[in-house]
Amino acid sequence: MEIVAFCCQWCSYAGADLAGTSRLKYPANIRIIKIPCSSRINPTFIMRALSKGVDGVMVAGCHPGDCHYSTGNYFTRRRLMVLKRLLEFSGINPERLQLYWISAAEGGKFAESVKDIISKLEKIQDKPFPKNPESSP
Amino acid sequence: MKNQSYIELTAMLEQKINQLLSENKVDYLIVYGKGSFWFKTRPLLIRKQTEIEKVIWNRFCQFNLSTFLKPGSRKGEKIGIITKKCDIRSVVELIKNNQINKDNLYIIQVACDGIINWQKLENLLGATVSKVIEVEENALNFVIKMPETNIEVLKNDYLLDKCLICDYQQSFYADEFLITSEEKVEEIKNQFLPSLEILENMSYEERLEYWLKHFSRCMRCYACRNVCPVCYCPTCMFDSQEGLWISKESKTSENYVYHLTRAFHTATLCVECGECERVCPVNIPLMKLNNKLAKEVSEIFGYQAGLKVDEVSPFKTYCQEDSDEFK
Amino acid sequence: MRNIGVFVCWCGLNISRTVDIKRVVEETSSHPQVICSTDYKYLCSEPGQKLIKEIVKEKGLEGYVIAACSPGMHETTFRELASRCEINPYLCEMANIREQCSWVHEDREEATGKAIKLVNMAIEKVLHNEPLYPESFPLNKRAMVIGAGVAGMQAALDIADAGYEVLLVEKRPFIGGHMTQLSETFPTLDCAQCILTPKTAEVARHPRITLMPYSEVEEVKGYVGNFEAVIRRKATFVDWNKCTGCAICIEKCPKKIYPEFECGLKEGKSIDMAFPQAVPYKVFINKESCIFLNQGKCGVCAKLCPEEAIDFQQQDQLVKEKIGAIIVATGYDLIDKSELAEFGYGKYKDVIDGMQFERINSSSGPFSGVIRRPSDGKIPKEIVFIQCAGSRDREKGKPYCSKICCMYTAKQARLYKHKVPDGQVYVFYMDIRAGGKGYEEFIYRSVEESGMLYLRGQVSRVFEEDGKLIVWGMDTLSGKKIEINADMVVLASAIVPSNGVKELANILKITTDEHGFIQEAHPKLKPIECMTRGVYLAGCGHAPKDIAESVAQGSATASKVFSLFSRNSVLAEPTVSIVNKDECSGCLSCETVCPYQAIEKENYRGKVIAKVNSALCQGCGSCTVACRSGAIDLRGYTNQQIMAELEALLWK
Repeated sequence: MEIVAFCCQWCSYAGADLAGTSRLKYPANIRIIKIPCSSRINPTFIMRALSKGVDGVMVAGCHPGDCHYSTGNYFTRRRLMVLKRLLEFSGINPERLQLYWISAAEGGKFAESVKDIISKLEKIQDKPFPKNPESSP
Repeated sequence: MKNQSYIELTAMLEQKINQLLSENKVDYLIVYGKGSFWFKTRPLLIRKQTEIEKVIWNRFCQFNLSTFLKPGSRKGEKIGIITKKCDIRSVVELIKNNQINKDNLYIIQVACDGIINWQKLENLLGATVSKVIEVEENALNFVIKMPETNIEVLKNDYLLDKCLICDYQQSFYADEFLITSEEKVEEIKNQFLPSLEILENMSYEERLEYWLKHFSRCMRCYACRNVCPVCYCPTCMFDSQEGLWISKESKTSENYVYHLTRAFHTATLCVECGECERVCPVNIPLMKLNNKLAKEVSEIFGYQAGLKVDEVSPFKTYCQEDSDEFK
Repeated sequence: MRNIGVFVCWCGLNISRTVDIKRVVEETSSHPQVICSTDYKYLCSEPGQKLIKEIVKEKGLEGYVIAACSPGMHETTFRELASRCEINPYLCEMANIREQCSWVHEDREEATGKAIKLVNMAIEKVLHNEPLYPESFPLNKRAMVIGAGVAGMQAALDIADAGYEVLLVEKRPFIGGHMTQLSETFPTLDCAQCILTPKTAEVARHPRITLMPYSEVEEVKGYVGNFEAVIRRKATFVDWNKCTGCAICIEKCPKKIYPEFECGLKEGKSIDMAFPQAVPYKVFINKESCIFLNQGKCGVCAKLCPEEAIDFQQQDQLVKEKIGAIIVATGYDLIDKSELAEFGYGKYKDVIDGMQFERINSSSGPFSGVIRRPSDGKIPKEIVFIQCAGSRDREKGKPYCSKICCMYTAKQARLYKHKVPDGQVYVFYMDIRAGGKGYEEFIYRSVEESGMLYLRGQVSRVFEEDGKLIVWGMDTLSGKKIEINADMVVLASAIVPSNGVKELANILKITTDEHGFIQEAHPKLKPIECMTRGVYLAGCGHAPKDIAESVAQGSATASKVFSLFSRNSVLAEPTVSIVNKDECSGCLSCETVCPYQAIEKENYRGKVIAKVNSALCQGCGSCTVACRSGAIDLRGYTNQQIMAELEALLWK
């Protein structure tokens, strides 16, 4: 299983660092891409990742109201609300996209969120995007 | 609306265009002209009064002419445009998104009672389609007059899907609204296409298979994008840095990203005119994606594209109290 | 293509215990663009940095990846090292294989596999990095302070003392703000005028402070270091260069009015000075009431003025000023009378607000400092103070605490007891919030010494009966209903942002919160910065606060201005958004999502397109997603860089 995480550098990336400093353990199949703000996440990044067969995408940002850039995550929230429904309608289980609000002080929440998305993905019966859709019926 | 009404409307249209051109209110007009076949129409650009006779208005005027208002097709000239009650919404979106200046635009909205899906007609009649004299109508049916015989078909089966659910009336933004005296405004409740429900009720796997089957036919000719009135970017992101977002190969996975991105980009802008689906050479049911997103955007944000020029698109603003479905 | 180096750090055992460093080095060295991959025990150490420097030189590296701890820890270290190696610092990327790998995973195989991926992602990113250079802008070392209350004056004085020019703009005709109206201040009971007058005088005579009283900011253009403001200098109809403040005009003016300064309690004239210690010590004409200005007759003042200073022809003037930084110190007002109808405020003369009590208690006030009630001038013997009048009230839309009312109510009650020893004080309160130095003690002393009755509960109604004000309340501690026959009621009315702040915020492109207070850039870490760079925030315009806090904020904003002015130019981070002019559709979807108003418009080849003001942009990248064509991209986090990282992550 492979999961891509987009973490904003001010809150959730720092939260992930804190999970490390606190030596909290979580599964190793998550890869973090650091971005300045969750509002930098282009939905196409997520579509691309899923269409390449990634099992899940985790988006993490500052808590609403605490965005380092003041309002960025409010826009993220709107965009991803629509994206989630679009993915679902295209046949991707919406559980494959998870968004968490994680502050720089929430190392524990970061580790829990990783476990949370993995446990959700484990429950999913349907397959991810086929690696080679041409050969599928 | 009887054929007589369409003839009357065409006359009114000609008169109006004549006036606009003679008074120099517009430099040119984007109108419907006769196509290569009896039931076909084509977009026409007229500058001279002598060309007015080419203008037509009938049940086959399917195109959304506002596509021709997209930048690159104008040079600061005053433009007149013919719109149906549905298409005018994309004109509103173009104004709203600073793609055209309303001051340079003269919008003529013409009464419309639904457009006939000529592809269905062609499918029904096959080769004999060329023998049709005219299509009349009664309360429920279209009457296709042939030399030997008349064929009656149910109107609802032969109108465009979008016309069945159309509930738009005269737009506030029309400079002129042409309507015959006897035409009455029918009450039709807006409902989302039932075919959406079939898809919505599928399992994720079935739905993914459905879409991948369709997307596998896509050859990325980009006709859907080029005809789309709200795909107004001078350079599409899929053209600007080739290979950045998706590879050039025509692979299903790449097509998937292209179509979903386009659907996402046009969400909050798409007025569901159906042009993308009409021009698709491999018949991908693109409107289902657009209808679905329009429905979701309306449910989440209570927003519908193309109604008001000063309405703020939900992606351009936010609300602290937006429902937080994330953790 | 660049020649990339990869340096993998052991961090002692911190990384090497869980990650097979050797394998990371081996795997990454097979990347075609990586010409050197090596490891070291502590890369951040002196010898570690020396090693990197030598290898960069020897192999001619053009960029490198440091696989080590979090960039939060050492990115600056290795970027500075890059500069010393003559590599652009933005061609250095870090792979976080400690905090996000070796410390959180236990399985050596898994951790090593992940570390290799993380390094590969960083390699792909660095291959798409561009050298970036901070942009520099000229800097006008002149500050503008809006609002000459105690916060604004403090900021202006500090900045001017540091040697910079300050423009102090005040909408009222005098400086000093609301503090000039106060009688005494908590918790020390100093006379407000006595401590304020030296400051107002200092402001007035300071050679580097240009005072602009009776003026308002109409327009502000530009950005940090380079603002241009248009200021309206409202007509006073008196030539202040000539006026000596002799006050003959005031004496003879036939038009009586109730000026705002005295809160409607004391008569003034149409030509007047706000108060005897006003700075500037000049008279001004009230445009609305002046007989000459409204009816064209009278002109007594003009006839009598020995300096011929009266000028009925005077017009508002618009002046343009260039400044580099702006401090917003706009202060507060009290909640509107109409919102406190349940207390009879506005209906009964003897229901007054805290500011009116200050004027009554003031020796220059309506009763020369004797506490009398406004209706008949009698000395009130039973007095009720009502705290939280309007504050902490969701229904009035003011759920916030006005913060200073607990303290000033205690102060006023105590001052009343000093002057009316046989009087009885009742205070209705919700909680006592006395969180300041010496505040709690002050409240206790007030309660203990003066025998005032603090009643926990709210007042439901105040009405008049037989010349008395009947106060209906509830003591929630005893659960009893209370009725008091009072002579006077004092409301600790809610503090609201001063009138016109919303408009000013629009002019300055800063945001206000739901209550109209100005929004700080970050509630914890940037409490005195505004969202617009170069604009700072002091005093009650931000939120209710007391004098000491306002002064502290004034000084704090001044120190922000110092650090800005300490350089000769403004440096902007290079990681900002940039517009590809040919690809911009001009839809300006980017404009509204930008929290910093950094998107401007520009004419390009016959159309209006977006332009990023890189002095304002803070690099969040929200615009890059709003932009459908991808015409806006964020330097340092370009679409290409992120996609490259994503691709590397997807490699099997």
